[in-house]
Amino acid sequence: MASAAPFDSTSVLSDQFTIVPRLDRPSTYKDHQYNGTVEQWKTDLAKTTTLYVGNLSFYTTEEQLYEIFSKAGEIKRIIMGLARHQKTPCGFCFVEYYTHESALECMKYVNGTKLDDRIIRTDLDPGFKEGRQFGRGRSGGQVRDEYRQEYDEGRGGWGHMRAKQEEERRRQQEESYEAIATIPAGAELKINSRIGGPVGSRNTSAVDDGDKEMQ
Amino acid sequence: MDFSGRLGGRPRGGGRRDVDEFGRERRLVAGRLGGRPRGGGRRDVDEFGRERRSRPHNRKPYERPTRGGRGGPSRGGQHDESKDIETRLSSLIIKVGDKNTPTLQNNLEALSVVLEKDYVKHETTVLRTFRQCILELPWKVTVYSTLAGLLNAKNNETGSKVVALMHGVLREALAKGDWASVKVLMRFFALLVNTNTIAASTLVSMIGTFLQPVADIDGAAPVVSASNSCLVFVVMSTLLWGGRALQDRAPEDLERILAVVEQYVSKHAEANQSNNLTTVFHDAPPKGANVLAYLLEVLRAVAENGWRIDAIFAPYEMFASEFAQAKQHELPALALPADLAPGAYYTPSEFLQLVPSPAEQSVRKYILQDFIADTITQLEGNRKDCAKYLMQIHGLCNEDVCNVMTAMQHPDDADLESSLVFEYLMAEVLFSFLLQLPEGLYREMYYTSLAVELRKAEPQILAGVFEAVVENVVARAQSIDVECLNRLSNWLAVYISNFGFQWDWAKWSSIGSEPEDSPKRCFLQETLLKIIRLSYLDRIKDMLPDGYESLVPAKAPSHNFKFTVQAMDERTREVSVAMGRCLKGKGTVEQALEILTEHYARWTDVDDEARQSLAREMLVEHVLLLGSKTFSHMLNAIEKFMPALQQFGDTPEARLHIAKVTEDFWLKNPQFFAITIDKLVNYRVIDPITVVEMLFDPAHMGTWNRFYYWEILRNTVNKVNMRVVQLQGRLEAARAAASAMQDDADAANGSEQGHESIEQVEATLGQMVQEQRDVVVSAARHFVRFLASGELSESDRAWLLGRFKEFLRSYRAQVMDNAETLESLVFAPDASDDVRLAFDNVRALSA
Repeated sequence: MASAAPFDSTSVLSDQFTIVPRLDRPSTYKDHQYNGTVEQWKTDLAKTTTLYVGNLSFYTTEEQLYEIFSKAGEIKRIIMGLARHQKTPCGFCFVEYYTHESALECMKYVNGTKLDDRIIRTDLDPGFKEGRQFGRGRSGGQVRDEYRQEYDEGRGGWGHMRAKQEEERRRQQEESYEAIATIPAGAELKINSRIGGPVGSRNTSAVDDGDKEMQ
Repeated sequence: MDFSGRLGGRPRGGGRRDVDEFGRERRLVAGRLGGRPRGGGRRDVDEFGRERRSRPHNRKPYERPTRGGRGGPSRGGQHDESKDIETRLSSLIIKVGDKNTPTLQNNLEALSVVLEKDYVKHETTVLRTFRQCILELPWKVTVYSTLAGLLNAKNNETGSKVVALMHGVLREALAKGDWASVKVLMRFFALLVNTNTIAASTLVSMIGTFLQPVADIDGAAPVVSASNSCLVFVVMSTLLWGGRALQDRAPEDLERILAVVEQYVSKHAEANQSNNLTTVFHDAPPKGANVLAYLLEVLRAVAENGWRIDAIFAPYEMFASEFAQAKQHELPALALPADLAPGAYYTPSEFLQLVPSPAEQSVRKYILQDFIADTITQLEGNRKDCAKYLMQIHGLCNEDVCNVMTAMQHPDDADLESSLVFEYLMAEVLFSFLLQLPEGLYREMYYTSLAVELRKAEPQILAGVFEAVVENVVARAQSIDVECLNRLSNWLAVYISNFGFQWDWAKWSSIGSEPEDSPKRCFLQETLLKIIRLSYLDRIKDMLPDGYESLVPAKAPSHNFKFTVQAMDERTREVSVAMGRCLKGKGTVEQALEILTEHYARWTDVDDEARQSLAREMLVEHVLLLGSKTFSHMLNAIEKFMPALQQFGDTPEARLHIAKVTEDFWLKNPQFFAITIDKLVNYRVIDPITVVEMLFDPAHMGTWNRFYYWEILRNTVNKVNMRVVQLQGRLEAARAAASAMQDDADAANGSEQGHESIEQVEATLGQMVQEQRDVVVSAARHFVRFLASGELSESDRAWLLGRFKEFLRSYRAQVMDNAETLESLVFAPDASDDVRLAFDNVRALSA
């Protein structure tokens, strides 16, 4: 019987490797307005009690947030993200707990669940600073709503750029459009066939002309 | 593992040649690793953890790199060759044995050859992957113990390294009191005996360490305690897998161990005969209540079957000849942790029987549920991957052990009486954890969001399974523990809010006609209130069918400001208007106080005390109104007027008055009531004892069924406990700082300061501990008094008794700290028998 070889426990025993990546790790995002080094950012996150919460509906209330976020621990405060000009909620907030553990449990259990039918995203944050409650997009809201191309009912409809475009289109159309009084009959197939369409004595019902056919 | 198809056809001996050149093996593997690495560090998921698909918003300017930041392997063009090989090696180890396929034998053989060859070059990768496979993929323990055995048979030195590492991990887990990992690791070591990697005597001595505190010393009977139960549970779990090898190689030792275990289990059963404090279902057969006794039954059944476990594929049986030539390793002795608190021991959890299952399959059922439970526990760090892995566990089952449902199948069509159905086994384990008493290993929310992930993974199947299980539990609402009913309600509200509030509401519509405080009705009503908190009233109302009118509030939650349209005399209106104007106009605390003094000074017809009380009510109502818009407004209002509120809360009676005014103000909004009370305690306007007094107001008789009173009580006691723990931490830190300063001769001044702060912290801690004692004793006194009073209806009393049990077992540490005081209360001549029994039970529980 051989005795097990002595093993250098410091190398493999203590490394943090896991097969399944843990959910209570911060993302790689770093706030570009953060005043400090990358190292400081990391040490701040390692003991933070604050979470950034994104992808909220503009209509989600603090009490709804309180209800779901208190599942991970006692909440110290909630700071709603506001559009810079209108001072209305613009779809993000900061949740501050009393302990770092609560923030981690929130990352594990609450991040990625739904609130108000939207999947909320949380990330560890070094802590709230005055001014950070405001959106940083050009229009005052969040940057992501500046360029958003899809319509999102929970976040004010179109993205700001797109909303402007849509608004401009509406304005142009209103200016130039004139409603028609008589609806044209449209050319019959027989006449149409002279320019290369299918020749045939079959009647026009083969071509779907919608309402005209019914008249 | 789909490389089985390619390696599978080769003759076993040829494996070695195939991998002589690593390049060939690598190429072989590369193709399939190009897909989604399921277990690797890099995750192909978006910021919400969803699998990345080609969605347009993935190309946004604000798009972040993948979680973890490690981009795709081909990014940047230049490969780190060795890193690549290591990723593949790691992936091979992780994937081996995902399925019980005919090629598993060949796969294991081939993999052991690869590992043996490359071990020296990639030692760290191999070892740490191996370590994590044992810890994180516990249901594949038969595969990994076989792999370890093969490695050992091929190269004794490599085998020695693996065994030594895992033994180190075990020692560390033991020192930390990480019992879940200890259990999983001991199972691995038990199976190593089969592969001749360790001797049977080594396993026997490991088990002996666990049984040391339990064993019969000098004829004295073993002491039944939380720590001993935990140790015996670990030993029994180990025997389940090691019994076979021990029977062959050390039958006498096996018998001796079994005798110790049996003696302890019968002592334990005796001591807990009448203990129903942690019983989830009071209508269940007694079998479920004592998990140790049940596990012993399982062990006996397995022993009768020659210690053969037929539920899971055991690949080591196919390598008997190789193992016969292997060399065994000796291991240093284990040590049990010396200074763990009683609460730091693992409470063996029973698996609740929530759906029917064939009785003759009970052993297989236990084995599978045990694996499911270990997986849920070990993968708590990532519920999404945990859900995915859970759905794979049945892959290693032998044929005909359990059925797996298909999407086409209606959940009711599953034949639960005649065969095990995997999804139902899993749901039972999940709910067993959720409802575990006195408390589960993790927060309730873990089991909620895990269920959400499971349903997302298998929407058609698990929606029906969860619904069926919840309906079964609710059907037994009459006999379920009150706290468990509360937990299920919380679970259900969050769960269905993740799926658009879809539920078979019509099925429960008849509950609306049940008596007001029937458990079923209360459950449904409270669940709906929670759902409304997560959403809003109109949305929920629109979704509910007929029959629910009496179960949801008619109006959206709102405040109940006293000084509005109500008939008010002229002078009250004057004060109220002045206060309202002042607070709305951002008036200062001094201005508000001045208004109160000025106006009430004119009320010469009422005495000082009454005037003070009127002014207090006026102030509190207006501050709360100022803060009634949102949670943040409330914080601001209380924060700003804190000095005035504190000034008016100068006596216990005054503080109770503030709490009662708050309750009245938020009569129609229990959530805001709970939040406001919480914050008033935080800002020290009222103290925890005030909250206890307010909750046990005799006016609340007849409504003990409401969940939010107890939510408030729990919040308050938890807060007090948290303060004590934090102060203890601060005291330790202050002491450490002071002693460090004293070592430093130059910092004489600093040392003095450090000393002073120690005294300060000590004094505060003393106060806090006193506060903690007051809260626990006061709450217990109220409970006992109401339960003995004879003034409660039978059902109201049942609700209150349920909450008393919850209180005792949740705060058993604090209860036992004050056992003497409480005993004199509980054993007062007028106290009732069930109260005494509950107290005796909590004593047994915390032994």
